[in-house]
Amino acid sequence: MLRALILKEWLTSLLELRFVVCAALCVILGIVSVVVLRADLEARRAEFSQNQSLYKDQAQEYGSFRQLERQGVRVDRPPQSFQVLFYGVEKTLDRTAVVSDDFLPGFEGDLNTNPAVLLFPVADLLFVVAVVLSLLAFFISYDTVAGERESGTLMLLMSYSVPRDLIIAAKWIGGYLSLALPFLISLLVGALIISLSADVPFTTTDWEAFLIAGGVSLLLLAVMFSIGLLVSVRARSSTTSILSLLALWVLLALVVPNLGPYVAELVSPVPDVGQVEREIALRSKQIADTYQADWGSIRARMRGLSREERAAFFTEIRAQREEMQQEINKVTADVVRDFESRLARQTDVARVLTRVSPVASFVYANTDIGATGVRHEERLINHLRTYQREFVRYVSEQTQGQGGFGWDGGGGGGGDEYSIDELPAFAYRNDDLGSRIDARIVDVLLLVLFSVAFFMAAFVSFLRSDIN
Amino acid sequence: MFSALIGRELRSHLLTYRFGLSAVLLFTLIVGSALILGFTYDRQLAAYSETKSAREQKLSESTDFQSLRWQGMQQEKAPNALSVFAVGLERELSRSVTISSRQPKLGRSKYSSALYTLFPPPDLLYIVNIVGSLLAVLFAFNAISGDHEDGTLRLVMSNAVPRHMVLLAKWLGGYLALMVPFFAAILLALALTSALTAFQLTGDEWVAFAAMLGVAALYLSVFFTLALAVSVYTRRSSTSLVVNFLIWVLLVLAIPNVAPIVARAAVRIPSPGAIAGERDAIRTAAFSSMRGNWRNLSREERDALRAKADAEVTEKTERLLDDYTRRLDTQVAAGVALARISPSSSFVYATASLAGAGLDDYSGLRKYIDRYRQQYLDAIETIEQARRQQTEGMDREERDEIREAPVDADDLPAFVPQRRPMADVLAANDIDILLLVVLNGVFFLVAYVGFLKFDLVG
Repeated sequence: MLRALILKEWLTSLLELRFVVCAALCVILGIVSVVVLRADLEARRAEFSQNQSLYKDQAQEYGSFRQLERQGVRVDRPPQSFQVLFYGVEKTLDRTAVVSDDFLPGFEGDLNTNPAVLLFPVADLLFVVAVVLSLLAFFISYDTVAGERESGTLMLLMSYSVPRDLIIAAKWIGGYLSLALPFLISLLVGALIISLSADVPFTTTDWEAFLIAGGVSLLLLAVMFSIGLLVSVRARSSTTSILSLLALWVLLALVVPNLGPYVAELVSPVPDVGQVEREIALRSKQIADTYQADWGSIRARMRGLSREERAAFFTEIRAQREEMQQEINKVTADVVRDFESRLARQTDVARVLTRVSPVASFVYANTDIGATGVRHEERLINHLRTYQREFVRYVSEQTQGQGGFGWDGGGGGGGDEYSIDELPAFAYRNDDLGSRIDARIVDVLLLVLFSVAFFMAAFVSFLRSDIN
Repeated sequence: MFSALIGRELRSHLLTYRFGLSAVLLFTLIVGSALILGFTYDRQLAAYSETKSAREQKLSESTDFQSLRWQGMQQEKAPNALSVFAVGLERELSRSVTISSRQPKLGRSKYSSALYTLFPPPDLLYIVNIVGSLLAVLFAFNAISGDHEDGTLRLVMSNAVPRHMVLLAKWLGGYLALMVPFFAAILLALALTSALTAFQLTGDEWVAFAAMLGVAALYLSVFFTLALAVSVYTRRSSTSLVVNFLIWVLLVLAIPNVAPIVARAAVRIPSPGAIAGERDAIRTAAFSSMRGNWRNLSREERDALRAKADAEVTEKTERLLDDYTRRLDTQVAAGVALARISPSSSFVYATASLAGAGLDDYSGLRKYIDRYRQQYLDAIETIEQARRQQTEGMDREERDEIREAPVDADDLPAFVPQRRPMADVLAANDIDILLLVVLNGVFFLVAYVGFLKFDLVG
């Protein structure tokens, strides 16, 4: 009996114009997004590898390790393969970092960029599922019960000896299958496009992430469909149902997730970037001042020293300088760590506040599973800092034993021996999939909880509803 | 007769659940978003004045011309009051920039959390662009087909009313029903943000704000008229809804969001990182070739060599940047042209420009920074020269005291990127506004022709 009912629901949906149009739209949008973003990724990958050798050549031109240390080597943000599906934080225009003796490197912005992409959200598969498919979920579900009640078919159906729970279960399964169909088609075609493209290097882990992200997307669709079914059961007419659902869609998919960061900024404020920089500058200056008092008379003290004594004096000053740098680095790290922990708290507040919307949970889960989310951003910055330490270690190994303070204009140091062939490269590897899922398990569980809760609510409402 | 028709149309809207729900939605979203962004603006203002006084404080301590040149000064533009209603590119424009003798360096975004990158800002621009256009579609999708289904259209037409008047009344009545809560919500949002936050508009900004509302009204009217036209050609309101929804998704959610990425992939240009690297390389090459015989040269020869290297760097850098910005502008223009297939893009471009946070403001700031950098370096040069002349012949202690005396902040040029004059903004966005007007006309004409041929019996 259940099978017959599911089949009936499914066929009813499939034969309707709205389903055909919306499903075609979702499939086309999904495919177009993957094709366009694949071209974008190809361009980025080509640019990345070109720039890598370009930056190395430029660093080679410096001619000395001192110069290299001061001017630094450029590092580009490695393109993430998953951006073909979930663009996430890859939208940022801050793509290049300069790794030098500056203790805290970061990807820097540049006004010589094309900002047009920042004016609009990117139409990736994430957007297609979160916005377009969730709307389709409401479009399919809004009259599942309300419409049948209006047209009288519900009464007819109930006149048979069919238990109500079977009817509502069949409505859910049948409707959900029709909703999942266009999504699965675009997912499959997306997978095909990705696997056929040599420029999108999907590893086994990426494919696993792809499957899990697909599962999470299906969960979101289940939540949205259950909400639609609940409203359809409770609404007096299908018009009321669709209007209420559209209002809900606007709130859940378009407004709540977007408001999150702004509300969190007010609820759990973090200091302004300028303020943090000032704090670092102030505390660094205090440290530098204590050392500089000793160095004031360097020239006077150097007068009359023999060559060996000078070398020893340089070594001593150099050691002091390194000590000072370490102290400065330490206070800088303290200030930055404090800022970042407050920022992380703010991000958590934003997440908690916006989790009333399943779309927000979906975005958090899938961007992090695909390694194009906030977590990726944090890891990337941490990697960059680790790389900076490697860079400094490398440069200091190369310059060891050379005299001077390194303040002499950069002429000395290295000379003919200058070669950066062994300069470590910035190698970024994504987190393993298990940790990514662990980090977002709350969001996945919330989606499960939401779908069960809304389905149960629809179920109970239907059992108690008056079919007249 | 006409007013009776409009009155009827208006009443038929006002009494519906749809109207109530839309009004609640518009009020909640517009007022809520303006307040939240208003409070954010407050915080930005506070941070801005703190930064400004810290900068002045630093200047008042002592002056080291070398570090003023090499390390430079951080500058940032004042927060934009209109960003409360249209954020546009403000997140990028509000970054600080270090002005020095080296290439300008952008500071970190003030919108620190990476979540800001994940979601677009929920400002009025966004609400009108997506929610407003959807509501416009909902208000008009069954204007004709719905009346036809329930038979009221036949009843109306049985009176001696010309068809164009019926259509015009439908358009006007429905559009008014949409716009009245919209403007009421904006008025309330304006009143509350002005009362509760530091949000204040100056004369020019009021004009820009009024123009923004005008463009929003035009944009909403495009979707309202389009849905009306679809409603004329589809005999059932359910079909009309589906077709309208399809068009809406394509125009609002698909085309504008895909176009910039397509343009970026189609018109390829080197990355800014590569260009910055090349600029560094030009400088390094010029100065390292200069240093070859450095030790054996006299002071005058060194100065001459340095001036030559400087000139070489300036010339090569300018050439590189000119070429690059030309290609960059081509890429931006390609994306804009492609996106303009959709009225949603025209609306976003025009509104962001009016708010002072559009694409032109972005390139404008870039040019302003270049100009400012030169003014800044010239000002430092002038002050230093003047002090050098003033201290000639003095003993060392006295000389150092004067030379290292704090620079008066007023002697340095103020970093105040100006809003472009309204005439310029309107001229730059005339295509977008014109497109919206033309689309309105075309869609209304299509609806009119269809309605004249509409078969009431079928």
